[in-house]
Amino acid sequence: MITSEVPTSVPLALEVRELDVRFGRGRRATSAVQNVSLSIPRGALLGLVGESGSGKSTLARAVAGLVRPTHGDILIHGIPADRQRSRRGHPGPLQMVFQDPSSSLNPRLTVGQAIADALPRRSMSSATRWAEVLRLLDVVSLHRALADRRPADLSGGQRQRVAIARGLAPRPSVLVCDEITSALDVSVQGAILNLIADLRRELALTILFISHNLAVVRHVSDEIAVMHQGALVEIGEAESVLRSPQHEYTRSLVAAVPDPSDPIRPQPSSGGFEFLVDSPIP
Amino acid sequence: MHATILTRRRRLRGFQANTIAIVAIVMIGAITLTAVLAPVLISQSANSPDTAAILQGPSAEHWLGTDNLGRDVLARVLYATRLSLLLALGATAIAGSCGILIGSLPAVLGRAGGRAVTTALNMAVAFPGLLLVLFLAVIFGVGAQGAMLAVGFAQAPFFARITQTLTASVAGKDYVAAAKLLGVGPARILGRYVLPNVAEPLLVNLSVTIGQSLLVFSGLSFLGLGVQSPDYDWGRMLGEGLTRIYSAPAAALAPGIAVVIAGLAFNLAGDGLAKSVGSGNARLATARPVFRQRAQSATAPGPHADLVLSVRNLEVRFPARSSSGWVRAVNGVDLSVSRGEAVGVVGESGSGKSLMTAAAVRMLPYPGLASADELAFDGVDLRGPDSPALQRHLGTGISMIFQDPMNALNPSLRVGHQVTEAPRFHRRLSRTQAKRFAIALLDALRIPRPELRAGQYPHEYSGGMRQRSVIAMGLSVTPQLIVADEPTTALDVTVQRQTLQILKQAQHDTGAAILFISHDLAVVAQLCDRVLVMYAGEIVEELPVTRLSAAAHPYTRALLAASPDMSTGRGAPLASIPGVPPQLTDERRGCSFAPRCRFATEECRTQTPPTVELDEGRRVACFHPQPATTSLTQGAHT
Repeated sequence: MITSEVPTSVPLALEVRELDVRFGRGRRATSAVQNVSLSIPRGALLGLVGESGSGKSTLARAVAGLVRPTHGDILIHGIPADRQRSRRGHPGPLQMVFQDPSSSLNPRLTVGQAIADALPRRSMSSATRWAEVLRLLDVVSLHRALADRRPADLSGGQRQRVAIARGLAPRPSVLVCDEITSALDVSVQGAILNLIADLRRELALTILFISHNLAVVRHVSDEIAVMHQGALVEIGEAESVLRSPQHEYTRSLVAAVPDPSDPIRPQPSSGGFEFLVDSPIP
Repeated sequence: MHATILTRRRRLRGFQANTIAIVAIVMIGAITLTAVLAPVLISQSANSPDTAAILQGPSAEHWLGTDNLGRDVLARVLYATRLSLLLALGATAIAGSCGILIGSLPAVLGRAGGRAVTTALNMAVAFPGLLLVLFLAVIFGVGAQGAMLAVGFAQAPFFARITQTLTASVAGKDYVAAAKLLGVGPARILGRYVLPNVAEPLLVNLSVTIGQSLLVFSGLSFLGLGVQSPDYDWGRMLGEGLTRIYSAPAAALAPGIAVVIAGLAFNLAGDGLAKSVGSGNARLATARPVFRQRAQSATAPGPHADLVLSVRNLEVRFPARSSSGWVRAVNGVDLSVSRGEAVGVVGESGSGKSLMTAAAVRMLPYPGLASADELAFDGVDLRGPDSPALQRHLGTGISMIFQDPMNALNPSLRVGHQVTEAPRFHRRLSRTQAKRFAIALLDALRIPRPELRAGQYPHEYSGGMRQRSVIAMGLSVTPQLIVADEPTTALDVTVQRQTLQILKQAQHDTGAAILFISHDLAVVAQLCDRVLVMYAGEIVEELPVTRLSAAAHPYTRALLAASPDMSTGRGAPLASIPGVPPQLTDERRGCSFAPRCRFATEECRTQTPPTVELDEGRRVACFHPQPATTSLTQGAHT
């Protein structure tokens, strides 16, 4: 059983300093993330919201080491992330759960194999590994019998639980969740959010939780960060960011969240489409 | 009560794939048998010279005649099967193993190494294949072995290129990223995560390559670069037979036909394999659907002049993929839309909301089957056969808006042109009229600088503007009904708000009715007047939007409780619905939601709840409708 070495003197589990990510070279280069700095204290959950193209997923991939930053530092427990990345057979202290479980699970592997692949191979006997696989299935509330099934036999919610179990297998101290409920149905979304909340409490996980859904982020987060066009425009305590947003973009984002008690009404003065009825051909 | 079939089934693709595969398997079986048995059984007549029977024509004794040493031509063709086949298989094995090895290197190597391999491959593929074969044949030396190496290595770049393209598409998948994050080594990623997921197209190509190798070998031997005397394959026989083509055509034709048959067999095998992979081994049903007679719903609306869409007892069926039965995607629903009304259809994936709506406006995709007791749009029965008048009625009366605007827009036509396509066709607008109309439409959709925008192409628009252009296309015919299937799901919230505002404005200004399909109750509540909640192909509840918080069906209430909004208690567990929706192939007994419902009783599990009217405009199919006071979050499941 491995646990990542965590120097207890550093209170921040994840720290991102002045991070830039650019794609392409020269004149055609586009900047996906610009000068983003943020930090998450140990055991906290930071919600990161933004619309498509805001750079939130690129930031997540950079933090996970899947995208190389152009500039800036990423520290995990005060140690540069590059020095503790996963190497062959040695998973790093930071793991990630992806948006769509139907593409983040290898269709050829059974649930048990997928989770076992995330366990260290050298230091464990196969019996111990299998026991650990079954324990992880318990952790994410999946029936043990599912260990022999393939992803195609599972529902979307069950698949996402497998992906979470796989992310938890190497006992990470930081978990990046990138839109993990976006591909799921509403009835399943609640269960996955509850699972994340439970795991946080039980495993003292530090979580970077990314979503475009403000209501979802609000529900799970201690702090909320807002990204817009690659830049971090606002960060602060969850409720206060949403109740009294400081940045204009955050305000427009909060205002656009669908509110069932606020029906959309036509504007009588606009005259918009009346010409279609009055004189169909101008 | 009669049921009318709206969509006829066309020929079944799965059946064709099966036939091809069976023919190919039979052919390959016969060829393999010949290759194994012929050298054992007919070696004597194929290889022993018989001076008494030199250069004979076809006879009862020698069906295809004899060659210049008196050997039976048919026996020789059969005898040559083994060598021809072995050489083709050997060459394919060389091409496959080298190609797959080289082609998967870029997925394992770093960025620079991968690029170098890819560039080298591109150059190798650009080199003409036949020239490469001839060049390699000379280098490896004349003879069967040299030819096999030449044909094998000449085809390796082609294989490497296919492998590289296939692995590149898999290497970008999230599961490979996840494996990297978990510290799975490159070799293991390749062997366990990448190659198994490209195995099927590779097998198809291997099979086709065997056929190709057969042809190329025959060519080489024919040219004298391949198999050398005293051995012989079909190519060499072809070359020798050709000198006597006028006196004894069978001696040249027979090996030629053998090459064609064998090549065809392997190509067909590849074809059958590709088709069965492509259709997911679909075994489509051949049984006709059996329609259940249903009791007339007590609250079914009769035909009314103020209804723009009126549907009664609509059923939609699809042939099941895994078994021979039918999937009941929509199970006897009633649906009516009044003029100018906005009706929302809410349900989770697989609830049948999209199929119900598609069937209601005669747009059910193949191979779906629909039937209904009543199906009328704007007073016209839609159940009859297709006709130009019916098409025009639907084309000018209904407009459809889908989730992805890029699928609805032609990328190579200007937006201004596309939004006026329908009125130019139906009302014969002139060029200038159409242009003015396009600008007026885009202006009404609040697209800034409409004069400029009308002349631009879809890729120059943002996602929100594209979706608005699709709405413009729909509005250009001044429809009676706008059917919008998840039109804002792919959009950001700020853009979603604008789009909903536009739809509302169009409804208000033109008097069009809206049928709005969404998984998001909050959005439906903002836009619509009335909501239909679907579960497992049935409408379980129907209610005015204003009464949504007092929904009576446990499923509707669970949906409401499961989606957090900006006022739910933070940190408190959300409600969730345990279990999964029922398989729509099973014969259903009782309420479809009963296995997941915490209020379910024995009655729910054995009897189908009838749809009853609770009060004005509220209908629910449930034995235990919940009073408005029941807590929404009580009994949350984690």
